[in-house]
Amino acid sequence: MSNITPEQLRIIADLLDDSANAINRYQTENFTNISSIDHIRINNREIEIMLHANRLRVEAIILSVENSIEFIQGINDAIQRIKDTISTIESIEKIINLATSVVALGLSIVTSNIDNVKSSIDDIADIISDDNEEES
Amino acid sequence: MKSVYKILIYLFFVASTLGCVNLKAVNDYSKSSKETIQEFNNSNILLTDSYKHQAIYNCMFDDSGVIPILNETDCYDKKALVSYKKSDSLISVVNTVLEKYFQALEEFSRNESNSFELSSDNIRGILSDSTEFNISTEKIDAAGGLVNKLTNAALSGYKKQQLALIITDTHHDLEKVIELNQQIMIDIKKILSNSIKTNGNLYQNIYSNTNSYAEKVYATKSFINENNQWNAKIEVVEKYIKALSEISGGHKELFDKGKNLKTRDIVKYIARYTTKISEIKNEIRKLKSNE
Repeated sequence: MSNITPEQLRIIADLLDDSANAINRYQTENFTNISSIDHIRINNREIEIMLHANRLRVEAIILSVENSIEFIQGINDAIQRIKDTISTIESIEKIINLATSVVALGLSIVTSNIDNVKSSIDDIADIISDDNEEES
Repeated sequence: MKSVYKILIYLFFVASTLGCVNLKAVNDYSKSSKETIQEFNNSNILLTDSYKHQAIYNCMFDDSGVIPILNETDCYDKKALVSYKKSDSLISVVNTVLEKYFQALEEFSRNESNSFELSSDNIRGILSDSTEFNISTEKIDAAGGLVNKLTNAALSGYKKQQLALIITDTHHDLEKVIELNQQIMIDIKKILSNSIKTNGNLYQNIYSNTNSYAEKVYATKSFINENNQWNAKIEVVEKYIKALSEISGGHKELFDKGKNLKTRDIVKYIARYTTKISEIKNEIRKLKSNE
């Protein structure tokens, strides 16, 4: 089976289906001339042929997916890349917020505004602790 | 102060026109693609079920017309069953990867998820400190709003650039996987069609071996019900094949024109695909509810 391609398997499956259809057409056209026991036999053969055709299609699906692992992995990598970029954007937002808080702290120290110094330190502590919590 | 405003406004416009991929258009397209793939993934179309159905029907009448008393599992070929289960798993992997890709694109292109809100207390705190600056409240609010808009526009520009890069880099792989999936869907359709034919074969056997009128009526009703169920599944698969074409077409549009077209054109082009994908998604949903 290893040397057969999915396309070849599909061609054989289609040929098997065609033969089952041809038998069915013959059966329908000669319906009254065929005994009921022969109808059962013919029906059983038709089902068996279709089972073989389906089995070949299933093997074709397995082979074609296995042959496409590289492309599937490519999409998987893109998903990871998107997730990483989202994390980068979130980090940028945090850094901007942190920088703003540090500026506010510096300004509060320069202007000797003790209440603002306390509030700015709290803001910085909040941003840093959020970051640490996420990392842990 | 006026020149600072001019610079801020200039930067805002520069940042807002960075990159050519429109986030809202990509978001709508990704969301409808993801939801359509989800509809298929939740439709529970399993080749293993189709095989079991055919295998059981195949051993219901032996060649002498006798109904052998068998355990259901005796009808299955163990090796075939393993192959069918494996193919169902692989089909699920392919569709899950596609679903996750569009989910990631949707999350990434969602404006609100990364909407930046600069700590407004901080910016106002800096600007309103009356001991150093003398700026009116109105100007502080305007400046605060502008800083937020500028930062959001810059982030949005960064996102657009990254999106265009990801779409460009992934396009080839996505096209290949969608092609693979379409071929798989054609295989599934043929396998399910054989289930309908098998159903017809069995019906014929039962009908010709049953003398009672009530049993013939029962067999006919069962035959019609089963056929309807298989047909509904086949219709879902057919719609999904069409949806995959539209999804692929939409991605190609982004890949081909994302770098060259103005945002307005991209919105127009991609919206056509988004609408078609959404329509097919609703049709699949309707078919599933009729199953």
